[in-house]
Amino acid sequence: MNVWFSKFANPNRFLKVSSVIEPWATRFTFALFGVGLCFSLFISPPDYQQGETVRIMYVHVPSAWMALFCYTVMAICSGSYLIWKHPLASIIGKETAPIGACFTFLALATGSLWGQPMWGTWWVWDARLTSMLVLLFLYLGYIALQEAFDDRVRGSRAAAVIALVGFLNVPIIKFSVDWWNTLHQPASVFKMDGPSIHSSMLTPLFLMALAFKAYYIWLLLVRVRSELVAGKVTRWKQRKVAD
Amino acid sequence: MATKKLYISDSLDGASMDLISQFLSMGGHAVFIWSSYLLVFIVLVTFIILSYRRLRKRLDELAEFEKIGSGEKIEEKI
Repeated sequence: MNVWFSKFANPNRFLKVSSVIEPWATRFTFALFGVGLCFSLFISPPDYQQGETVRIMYVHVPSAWMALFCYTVMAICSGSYLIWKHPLASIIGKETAPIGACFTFLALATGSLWGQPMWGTWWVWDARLTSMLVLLFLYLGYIALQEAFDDRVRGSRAAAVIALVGFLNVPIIKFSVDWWNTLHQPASVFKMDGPSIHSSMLTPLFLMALAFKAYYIWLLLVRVRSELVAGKVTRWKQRKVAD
Repeated sequence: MATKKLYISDSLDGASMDLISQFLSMGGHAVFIWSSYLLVFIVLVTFIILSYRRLRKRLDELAEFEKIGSGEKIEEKI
């Protein structure tokens, strides 16, 4: 596994692979958002209890899934960086953090916009909402730590440690609706006995989730490429100073 | 000469106008639903635009260095 990972972790190889994937990720993002929005705004029916507000679910739930997914990616990259010291793992983790933070913010904001008409409140300090807010702070802490040291390696290492420790929060978020009493509804898609949502609502949900995932891949590849170019620029500058 | 202003309602009959306004009102929850979608749209679009702008800036910077670099190499050869 390490050999395969080392091959992939070569920045030039990564750039080659990403130049093939990036245009496809872009196309998939537009196509999936196009179809997903048609389903979520026009084709899917209103909920029998929540009426039209159920449509907020099609942006709220994929945002929340992506918030957890990005954190998991960040934790895996941090682990790989600490164990194998692959700089590319550190770059992927570093570039995933602001994307994950944005998705967490979107999950909280759209949740708030859904909570007001359905629960009668914008915010409540219950387990699910609070643990999501903690996730946002973990992302912000990771980003701040990356920049906190003059020595970039020390910053990356400290950030990787906080990402791994903070990973404890991910299962807490997932199971918060089962472990504590909460206003937030319990899991209805990823359940042991299958989803309890009708397919007319599950289809747009999955389409939007895939659109968010394609968008993440597209954005991540652009940002990682940008970071690799920045590395080359820094090396040129160092050479200039040395000359 | 004054030109007649055209409204979307001129080309649509009453029934389709009703359908559109019904769709836009989202069962009375328009503010919450449309602002959710708008917020997601703004954040995702801004993020990708900023990332491309950053990439472009860095690529330009690199191209400049490489231009100078290749010049140096040619001079060395001469």
